[in-house]
Amino acid sequence: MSTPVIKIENLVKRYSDLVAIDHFNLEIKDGEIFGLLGPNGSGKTTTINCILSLLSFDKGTIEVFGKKMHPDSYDLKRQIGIVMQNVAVFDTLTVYENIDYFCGLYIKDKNLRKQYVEEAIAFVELDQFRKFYPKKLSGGLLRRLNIACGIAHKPKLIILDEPTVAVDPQSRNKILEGIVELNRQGATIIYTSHYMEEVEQICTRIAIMDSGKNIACGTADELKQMIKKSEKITIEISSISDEHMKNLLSLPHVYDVDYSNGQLNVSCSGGRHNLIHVLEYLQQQDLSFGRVYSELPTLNDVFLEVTGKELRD
Amino acid sequence: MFFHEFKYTIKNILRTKEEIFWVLLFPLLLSIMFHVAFGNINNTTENFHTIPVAVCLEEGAHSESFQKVLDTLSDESVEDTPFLAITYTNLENALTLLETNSVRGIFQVDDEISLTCTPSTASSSNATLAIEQSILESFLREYRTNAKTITEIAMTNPQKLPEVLSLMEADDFYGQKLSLTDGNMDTMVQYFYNLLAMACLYTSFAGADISINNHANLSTLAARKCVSPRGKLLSVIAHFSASLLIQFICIALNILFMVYVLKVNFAAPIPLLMLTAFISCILGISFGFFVGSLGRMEQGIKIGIMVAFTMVSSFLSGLMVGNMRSIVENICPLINDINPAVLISDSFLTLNIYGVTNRYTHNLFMLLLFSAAFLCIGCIKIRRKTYASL
Repeated sequence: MSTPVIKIENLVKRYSDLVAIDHFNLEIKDGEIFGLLGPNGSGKTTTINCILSLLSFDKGTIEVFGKKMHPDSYDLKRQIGIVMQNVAVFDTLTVYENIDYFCGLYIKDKNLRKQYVEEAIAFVELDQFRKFYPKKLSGGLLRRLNIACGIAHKPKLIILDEPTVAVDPQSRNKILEGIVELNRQGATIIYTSHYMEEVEQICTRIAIMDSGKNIACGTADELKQMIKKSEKITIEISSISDEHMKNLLSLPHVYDVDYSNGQLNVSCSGGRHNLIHVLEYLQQQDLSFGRVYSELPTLNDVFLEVTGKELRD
Repeated sequence: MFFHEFKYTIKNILRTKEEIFWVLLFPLLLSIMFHVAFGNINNTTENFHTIPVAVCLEEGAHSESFQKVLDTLSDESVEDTPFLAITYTNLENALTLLETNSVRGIFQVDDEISLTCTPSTASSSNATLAIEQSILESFLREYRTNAKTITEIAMTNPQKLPEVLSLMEADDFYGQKLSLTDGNMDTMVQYFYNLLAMACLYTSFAGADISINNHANLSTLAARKCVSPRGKLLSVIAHFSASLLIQFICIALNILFMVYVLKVNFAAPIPLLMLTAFISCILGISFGFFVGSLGRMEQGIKIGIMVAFTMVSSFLSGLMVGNMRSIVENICPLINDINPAVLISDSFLTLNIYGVTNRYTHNLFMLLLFSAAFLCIGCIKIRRKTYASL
């Protein structure tokens, strides 16, 4: 079995009385795109900062590439690329200079650095903006520059901390495609976000964090299988009696029925033809209805069921 | 790695308009304003002349010895232009003489010696007053130091006393003053010294950037740098060197502008003026580095501290009120001893009036000492690599 890229055991980090990370365990394998999903304040960035040895912690161990991480572990740091949550570039340097500066902190050879910088610029598609100062760039382009500064030195492990915050959909897609491409080129990715769609879209494995705890970990499918709900049926209907709702609840695999704002919500666990059963019942009872939706569970449902609150709280 | 950091720090500073403004353009503009306001200062340049003083002698430990020194320095048979013209009188008469500007200062001598000077104004009629007061202060300070040295040696090691006295004679402070007639005695030049001192202290902004860009808990940029495999000390040294180079060039340009464009007569060799400016820049940047490393307060507050410090120390050195330094000297001389703006402007003044003397080297030594202290504290604070919070 290969050495995990990151291994965190029993990590505890306190800010005075507040427990930011609470006995957190995690193992990330080589070649993964690992998602850390959780609401704001759940401890994602704190965990990242502990991994990077920027933050001291109260308890636990962190290993990177099989070695204990220290502030002086320059051999390990050389293999890590970080894309901070807040854009961290020099306003006084151009796009090219910013990437060259940060790449130069890792790569001494001038020619190799020049090649890497060019590749990074091409990768984030900022070629025509290479002489622009950051203030002249849009939010999306700025985020791309932020990413280029973090990945130009071709690290084996790339940590992206909420890289798509405040980014337009087009730039967001470009960023996500880029992350998948970096992974395809051999980098292990840690991706933190509170956007479950993004995490679900690109991550091979996901850990859901809340209040500093790792509350669930696995692939998106594994996480969804952990919960009771497997299908949610929503039907637009003008009114429905309690008796009909009781009857719907007695249908096979249906475990919850509620009606609000002209919408009937039927939650099912397991079963493959739940929608047909529900619609058949409504037709048999001569109940007229409008649009019908059937949704598979989302990571938000997983979060809701495990924590009792919405992910976007 | 050093040159990489050095190169980008230089680019950074050169493109940070605020830093260049405060260190290059602001003093440049002020120097033009001073030049316009005070007229052509070369026209008022005067050679050294005897300084009239009043002396009020009372019975005390210093009366006899100090009177002998004064008599020697006012003896016309020794020098054509004696250092002092003395009027022995009581305090009441002395104050009247001071008010009527008949004397430049009053020495009151008993167990202690004190100097009282009249407040000067920036008008050209009082052109030499501030310089003369400064000379009287220096004279008194030197006397006190020598008297203390002699007393201590007489008590602890009396057999060495003749040797020490002959050494003091060889390094004749008072004699030097009388021989230094090439200096520019125009008090207006003092404003330019203070202006240069202020500009040197403004280099602290660049110093603060060194801390802020290397403390992970002060900026995201620093956090990004801290997770890279480069040593923090090397980065600080590169950043400091680059800042020092640019800031010094700015100050040097100011000096050259004053000397060659405004025709200010600093009456000192340019290399020595540059040396003084260089060491002053080291102090300014070190001070900024120290302030920048002070905890997690907002950058604006740190800038506020640096501006306030620079303005207060420049004010106390006489940038806004010509004789402020004399007032401080009378109230609390220690402030003048440790005020960086005074040390810097006094270094320029000393070069002008006396050339390279012990006082000049002492000033530079003090500036370097303060720089070392600021750098040490800043480095101790910045060496931290993990933080409790970011």
